[in-house]
Amino acid sequence: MTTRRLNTAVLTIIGLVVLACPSFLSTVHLRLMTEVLYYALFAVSLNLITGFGGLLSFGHAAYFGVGAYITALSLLHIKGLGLIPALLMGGVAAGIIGAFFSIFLIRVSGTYYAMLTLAFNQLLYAVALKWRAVTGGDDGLGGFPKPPLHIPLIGSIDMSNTANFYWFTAVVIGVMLLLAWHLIRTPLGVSIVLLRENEERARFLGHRTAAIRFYLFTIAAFLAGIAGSMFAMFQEFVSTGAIDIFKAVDAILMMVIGGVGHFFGPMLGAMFMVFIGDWLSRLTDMWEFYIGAFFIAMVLYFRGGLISLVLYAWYWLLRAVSGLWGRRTAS
Amino acid sequence: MALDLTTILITCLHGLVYGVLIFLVSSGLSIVFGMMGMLNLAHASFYMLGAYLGYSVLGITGNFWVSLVLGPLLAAAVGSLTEHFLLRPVHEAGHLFELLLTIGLSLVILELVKWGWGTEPLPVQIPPSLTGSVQILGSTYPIYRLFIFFFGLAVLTALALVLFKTNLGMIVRAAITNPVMVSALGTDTPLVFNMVFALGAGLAGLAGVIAGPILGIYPGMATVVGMDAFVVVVVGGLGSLLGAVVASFLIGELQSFGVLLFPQFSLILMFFIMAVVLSIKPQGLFGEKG
Repeated sequence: MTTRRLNTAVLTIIGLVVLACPSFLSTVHLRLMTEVLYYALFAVSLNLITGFGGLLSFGHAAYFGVGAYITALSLLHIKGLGLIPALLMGGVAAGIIGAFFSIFLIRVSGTYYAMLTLAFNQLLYAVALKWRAVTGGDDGLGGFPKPPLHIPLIGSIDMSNTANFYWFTAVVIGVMLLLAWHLIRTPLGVSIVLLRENEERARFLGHRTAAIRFYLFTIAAFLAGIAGSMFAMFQEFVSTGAIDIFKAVDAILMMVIGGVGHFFGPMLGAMFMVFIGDWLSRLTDMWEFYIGAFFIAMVLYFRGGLISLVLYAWYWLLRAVSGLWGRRTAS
Repeated sequence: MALDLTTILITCLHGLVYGVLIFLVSSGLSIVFGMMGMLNLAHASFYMLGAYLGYSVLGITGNFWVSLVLGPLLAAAVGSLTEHFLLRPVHEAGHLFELLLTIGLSLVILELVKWGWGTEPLPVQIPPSLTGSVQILGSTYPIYRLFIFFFGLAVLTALALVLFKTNLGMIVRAAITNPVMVSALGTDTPLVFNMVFALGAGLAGLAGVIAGPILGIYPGMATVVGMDAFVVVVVGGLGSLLGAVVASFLIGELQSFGVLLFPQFSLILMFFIMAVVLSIKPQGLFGEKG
């Protein structure tokens, strides 16, 4: 068995365990796990820009927030809107906003990119805060329906059931993560990394750097919008907390703690932040201090994040096993 | 609303006072950017730290002037330690990790402040020697605000004189332009960088101490002023002191008149201006390089 097939097997098992969660997790933990799933997509979409594209976005909550607000608003105002259309509307709206912002974002890099994303995020935050007639301002939006999922030939599935909604989230997020996974393996994905490593050379080689960045930002915005849309449907409430600077920082924390630049890192980071955050917040009021201190320690001493720790242990195990079995599992 | 001359004058003065405060915060941010090539996202935390430390010093000594000196000095000391123990080790890992580190630092400082002083806003009094108001064109204006304005202007002038007219300032500017060469000529550039970072933190802390009585001391203060300072350095031009001066007063007046004339749109307008400047001229109005 090669390492590659072994990895596939492990990923399949992890996927099955995620799908089986409702059978062994309590309702409280299942709800936390639902949060892990959409935050994982949020952090993964940021990682496409930061980890693979090499640009720190300080305003990724803009897309998360647009997805959340558009889904909430369309469920509130369009009678009889289905679950999937509401989800897609949130994602597509975020993608459109992302495409529009990209027109300006492709011209800047480094600190200027971080600052321009911050400006866009704050601009949308200010609109969400001040346009009370539509967004509800500080009070937020609530009381929108959570429609059942209609599947042809099978019937409709009640989404107010925690387990049902969890499975729905797992499938949606799973599909989106596969999309992101596929993206970094396409020629476009390879060009994104090339741009991060050496933009000048990429241009010399004939890559249309502006177009590559445009696609990258738009796709990442769409994925973050889907995450925000799931957030809105799960929480059944959206306020400026979905689009403020702290939400953007959350995505950065998850990404870095999990492992920036590694595809699976941010998912681990999302899991860490949600579960450890929940656990710490019940122990101490200062839990954000510990998260922040842990984050600083990561940046100082462990830039590979949690994922590098996991991978290190995994490959060590593989080597140990292959030594025992006469190198049969060595790649 | 009928706008008479007095209202315009008072609003304009308010804007100038806020502009001076924002300048004290953004000047340090801008100089540190020019030096290290990265934006310190925890810079406003030093503003908050200065305010809280100044408050405690005031509580212990009962003297505003002592707190005005000690608050910023303590903030500068924290800044110096931050540069030495946190930022320097990640420098070789690149700007991305430096930015990330300052995000973590701002979280930690915020939580420490909440832990040490509580989450409630702290009551701060205007020092007795600076209470009262003066008559300006048939209207009264608080002395304390005028004090902020002139004190800030004095600090600004001193800063410009040191930076552009003294030997020390020349070394700092040279170290910003070409650290390797200055280092080869026998100057301890890491020490210069550390001192400049501490100076920036101290200036922000100073702004915190003097802003306390009019803007309040509460855990959210860093976010509010931090955002304004980012807008200022971006609009004025990262690394440009002149840009920071001009943009500070621009944003100060915009905030001041915005609250009066179009409260719904002042916040939106501010970030709109930031986005437009970054899109059209990323190096800002007075920035040198793109």
